[in-house]
Amino acid sequence: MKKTVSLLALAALGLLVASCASMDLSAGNIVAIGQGVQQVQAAEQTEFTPEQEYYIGRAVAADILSTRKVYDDQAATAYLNVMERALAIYSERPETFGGYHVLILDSDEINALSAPGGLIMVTRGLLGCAQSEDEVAAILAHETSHIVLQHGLNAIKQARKTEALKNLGVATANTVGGSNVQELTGLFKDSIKDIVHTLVDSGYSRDQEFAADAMAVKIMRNAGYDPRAFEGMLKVMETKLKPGGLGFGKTHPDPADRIAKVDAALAGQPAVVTPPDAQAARQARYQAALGAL
Amino acid sequence: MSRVQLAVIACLMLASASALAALPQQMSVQVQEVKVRATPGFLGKIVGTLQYGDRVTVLDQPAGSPQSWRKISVPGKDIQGWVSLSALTEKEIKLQAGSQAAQTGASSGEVALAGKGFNENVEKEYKAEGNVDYTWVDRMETYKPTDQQVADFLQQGGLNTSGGAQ
Repeated sequence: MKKTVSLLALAALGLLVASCASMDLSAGNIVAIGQGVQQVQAAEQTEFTPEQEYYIGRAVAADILSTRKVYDDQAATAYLNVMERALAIYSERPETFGGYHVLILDSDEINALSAPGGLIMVTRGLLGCAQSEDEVAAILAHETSHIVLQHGLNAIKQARKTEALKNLGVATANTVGGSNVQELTGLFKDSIKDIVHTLVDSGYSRDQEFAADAMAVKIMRNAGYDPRAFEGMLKVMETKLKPGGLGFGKTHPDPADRIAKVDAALAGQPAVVTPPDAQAARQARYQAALGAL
Repeated sequence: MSRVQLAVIACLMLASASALAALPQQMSVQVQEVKVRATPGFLGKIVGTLQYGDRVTVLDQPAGSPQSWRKISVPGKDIQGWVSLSALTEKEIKLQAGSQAAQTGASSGEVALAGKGFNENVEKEYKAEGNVDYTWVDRMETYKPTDQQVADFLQQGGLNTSGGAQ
């Protein structure tokens, strides 16, 4: 009898191993098996969810827009928003919680700021540097890349991020209210400050900028834009940016360094050839929407 | 019952639990709203709209399907089509009481509690301090080009009209 039971146990073990081999044996699944399928706890958070990213992004954009004037031109803004969607669907993250949206800032400063989740603010001054639709696409593709790569969220100081995620992990539907909200609001406020400080004053790291450039070139190519326009845009900026100046001059690497990197990325890639009629159509609508800038 | 017999039963139970895990994968919508398309790609015909937290069943992917799209059906609804993987998460999303959808029974290993932490409540507190103005943020979120506008834009500009079905 003992032998029979042992054989049975062995057979059952074999069955288990066989069934395990055909499934994903991730830690999550092992936990699920251990707990039974009905008893599940919220997983410890290691990253912000898209919903949390959305509320962070809204606050960052609100902070920036509270002290800046908007260039309220409906045709220009509509053109940029259609273009942004046309680029985003060819990115690695076409859908964010609240989607991608673009607004023009009424400033001569050469600058663009993107808040987590997809809120892009670009100055009249930067758009004025572009000379074609493909060059405007280069600007938007670069900002989209910062959002896809979550550079804004990464600007939150690590200690604060750890603290916030720890708090978010224990805050359940029942405890979000009262003092918990106040504590979280404090962390929230400080996180927004970290991001705005990076966007406006200190800038992302050189590596983050180069990564956004490399991804922007890919997005442009996927969408059908000529990625060489990215270099064209940087060359114009090289002539217009003053060392030690405001905006991009302060927060971005030297355009010459960026051109060298983009050059290297484009080397060996097939050229994107734009048919003359498509080129003419793009130029006409670009002039109609942004020519006045 | 001997300890060995108990071990056998435990093993068999574990084996059936793992067999359950091999059923079609469930995923959740992790964005505010997403369109279900008849074909993979953002310009495909819309066959349904899903909201944050909605559960979907991932169906078998036809050979050669785009990596970044999932063919799904919606339990209890007559919706079947394609959704961008960027709109989905493997975690189950439990909405808070008072949210648009009721909480559903947990059936997955990981659960994200929607609205937990940095949410509308925190935004309300943040706004109440009176130093920030959300007027333009709210307005810019209304800028949502239609599929037709995007399709025309791509087509007229000689751009890629596949609609991101990569």
